[in-house]
Amino acid sequence: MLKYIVKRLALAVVILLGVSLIIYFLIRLMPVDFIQDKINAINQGGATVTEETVQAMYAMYGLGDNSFGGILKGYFTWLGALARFDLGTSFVYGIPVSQVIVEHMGVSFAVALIATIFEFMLAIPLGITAATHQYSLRDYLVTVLVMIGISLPSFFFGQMLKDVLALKLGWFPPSGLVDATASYTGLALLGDYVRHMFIPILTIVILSVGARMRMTRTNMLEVLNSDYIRTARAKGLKESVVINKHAFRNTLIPLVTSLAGLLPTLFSGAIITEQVFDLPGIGNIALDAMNRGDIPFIMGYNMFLALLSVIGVLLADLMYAVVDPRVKLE
Amino acid sequence: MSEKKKNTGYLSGKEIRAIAKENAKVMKRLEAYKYRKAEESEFLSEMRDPDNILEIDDLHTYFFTEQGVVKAVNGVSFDVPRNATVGVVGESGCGKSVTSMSVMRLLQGPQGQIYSGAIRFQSKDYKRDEKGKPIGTETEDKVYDIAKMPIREIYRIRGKQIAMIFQEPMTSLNPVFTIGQQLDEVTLIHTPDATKEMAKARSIEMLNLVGIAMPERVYNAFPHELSGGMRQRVMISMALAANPRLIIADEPTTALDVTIQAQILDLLRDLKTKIDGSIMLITHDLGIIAEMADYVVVMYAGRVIEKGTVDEIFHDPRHPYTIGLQKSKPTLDSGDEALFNIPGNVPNPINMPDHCYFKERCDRACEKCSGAYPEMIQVSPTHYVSCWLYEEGNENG
Repeated sequence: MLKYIVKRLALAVVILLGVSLIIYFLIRLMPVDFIQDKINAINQGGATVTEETVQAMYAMYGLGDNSFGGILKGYFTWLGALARFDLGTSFVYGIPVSQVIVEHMGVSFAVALIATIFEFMLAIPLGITAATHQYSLRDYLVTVLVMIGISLPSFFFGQMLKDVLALKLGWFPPSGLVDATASYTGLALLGDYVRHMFIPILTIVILSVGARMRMTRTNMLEVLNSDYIRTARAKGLKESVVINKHAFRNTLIPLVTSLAGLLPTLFSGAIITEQVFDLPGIGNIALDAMNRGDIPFIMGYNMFLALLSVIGVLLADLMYAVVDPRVKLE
Repeated sequence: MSEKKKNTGYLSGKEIRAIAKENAKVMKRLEAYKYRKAEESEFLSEMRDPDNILEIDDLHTYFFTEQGVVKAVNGVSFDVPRNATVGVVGESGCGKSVTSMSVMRLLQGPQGQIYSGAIRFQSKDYKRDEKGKPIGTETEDKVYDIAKMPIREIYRIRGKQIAMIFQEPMTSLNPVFTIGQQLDEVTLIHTPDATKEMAKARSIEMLNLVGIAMPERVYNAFPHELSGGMRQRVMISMALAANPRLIIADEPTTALDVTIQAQILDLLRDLKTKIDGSIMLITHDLGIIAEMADYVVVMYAGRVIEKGTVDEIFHDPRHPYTIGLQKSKPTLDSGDEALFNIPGNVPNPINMPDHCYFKERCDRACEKCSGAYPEMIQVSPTHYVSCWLYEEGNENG
């Protein structure tokens, strides 16, 4: 087991190197130029920047040479810094990338974690009743409702919820994370957070519950048709035990592994939802960084997600061995 | 709907909708009947012969499909006497398994339903108070009509008094629980006041009984760690754990290789003497029947066409189908000549003809065979056949 994990981690390093190389090259080839935008901004202010200053700025940011060799050199400079656990300094914010990530991670993580918990808490019971009452009114009703959820685009549905719940009914604040007009502390601050995060979380849950419910339903149906469920019934077990113990334990296998695969999405931030509700989450920041060509941040953020993805896949494999006794990791 | 159109096998949209509407109506009624609450007096019954443990009487089990009603079991009647082995034979799809599933009430609803008929079972159970909780260890004899029992009452019988061994040992055990966990459950649900230690002791005893060499090790093993033969032994021990009065073995050896087959059959025969119960053995293998059964029931297209003692069926088969089956058995001296086969096919289970289902394939069909379906005709005290040839006064018989 330990040997397997070490092997997988060693492999992960190779994967991450490949991922970083590709991302770096793609960013350098992107038609966004942080320096040019900055100079344009200065020029608009009425000042003129000389050509030498421009060149000096390019050199300072390490973007002077756009030939293949130059990009490669830039990559290895970045990699060298990474080896010293230095993700570089964000162009836009002027502070270390790791600090930017940490500062904005909390909101995104809280929203994603709470949404995921509710998603599973809703999707699993819904999927099970839909499966145990296949083709009944209940099944169709649940399926149609969650399909509506899957089909709605988040920018549209989020805006709708905001319009109704926040602007029309006024039950929740429409955007932001804290009430700017009041200064709360302690529990009151937490309550304020909850009020602000309610609609974004609701949006995410309604949009994502469908896929998970469909997955539960399909797995449950497959399990319910298997021979060992017939055996369990033939033993004289009550139907509730058959479903909640024998069938559910088997349905859980793909669900638990999919849960481990969710690791990167917990930290990546919901870009569109955060935009709609103006939450200062990492998704919002990442989109902004992309538009403004903040290379160190984009690199740091994406590598962070890549690392989480690799760990997530490894965790999923390990979880398999935990929930399914037939799987042995060698 | 002309007769010609019916036989093409294609249904128009209108016909499909008419079938769906009719099916929905019947299924709804039968499902409501299945899940109803009922007083015990509603499903108490009397045995025709007190020496029988199970009497199946004119059982009809239907599947309501999109193409129409499949009468998988269409008027089956036979008895399982006390301490006897009854073999049920017939080709694939003749309704053997559906009959056993009906007895266990394991039909997949809402499509599969017992439509009519009676399944009388001689029950011996702990005395119960009004709420259905067992009181003490005193037992009482009662006759239940399983077909009329609401599904919530079936737990008095299922797994406890009638146990079932399935065809597929490879997939019949839950892969995520150990053998011990799955075996213990049987004792825990059927014995009042059973503790975990009691259940474990009982499980190990059962594993010993079915000839498993290292019961402690198998107890802690997962199903995938055992071979097919071992798993079937575990299945048998699971069926035996609650001391059932009737074991239904649905092709218990079909999925196993020949040497293991012989071992499992020996085991079953051995157990019958040990457990003092009856066995209903379902198979399509005449050799197994000859070896194991006391009585034989031959089924064809959802009906019993002949039944009698094993001697009568093997040495004096009457129905042309049974005779054909006997002829198609390979023998040691048959050499390299092709095996006999009965010409033709089983009729489509939807829209069965009104006359004898075997008429089209029968080499001895007579005029009468185009008429009504033949009644059961008694040819000896224990031997019955459903064929016009043996009607009194018929000289061809």
